[in-house]
Amino acid sequence: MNIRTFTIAGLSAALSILAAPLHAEGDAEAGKNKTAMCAGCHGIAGFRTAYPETYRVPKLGGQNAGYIVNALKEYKAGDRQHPTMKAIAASLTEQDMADLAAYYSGK
Amino acid sequence: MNKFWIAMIAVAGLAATGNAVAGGDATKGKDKAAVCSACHGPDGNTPIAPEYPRLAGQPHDYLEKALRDYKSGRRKNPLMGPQAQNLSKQDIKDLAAYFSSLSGDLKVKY
Repeated sequence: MNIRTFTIAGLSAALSILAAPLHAEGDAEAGKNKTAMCAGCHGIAGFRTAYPETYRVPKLGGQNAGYIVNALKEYKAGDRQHPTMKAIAASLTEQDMADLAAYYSGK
Repeated sequence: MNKFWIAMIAVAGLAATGNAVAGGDATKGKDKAAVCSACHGPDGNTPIAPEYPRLAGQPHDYLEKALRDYKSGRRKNPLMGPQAQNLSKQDIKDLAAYFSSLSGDLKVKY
């Protein structure tokens, strides 16, 4: 492990500790009932975005919950840009995001 | 019949590229992945923090898109932005091919 790698790992760990208490508790059962807008793309193996660029959508099953919540918040805030995801994230509350993350990250 | 031979040539071309996925070389990607592994895990499936994504098994074109957007600043992240700055277009393709080739916990969930 070189110095830069070590520094990045250390910084990452420090940031994650700071970020940890900010998450709302997610309810996987509640999240399961909120996937109607997600499943049309993320529920289909190999599904490709049509606009504005074409690439396969990410797999959400098994992804880390904290990452999913952050992704949705970033779409809502405009730090991540995809027209469809931005529109969907804008309609979600923080509780919705936590519930969806709990559902997708679960077994 | 022409279509048949075009298809055969295409298949032969794919076979010849070995583990290359649309211009990315997973073997080369593995050699470039040391910095990534520090946070995302050596297997791409065990990130060191819950805010970091699993990468193993994600579609390579999605991973390429993410790295391109980090590099251009279209996707904003204080950690990934500077990391992506160091990557060439070929690096991005190789890394995406590598992490896509790994298998982990990610799956399509309805």
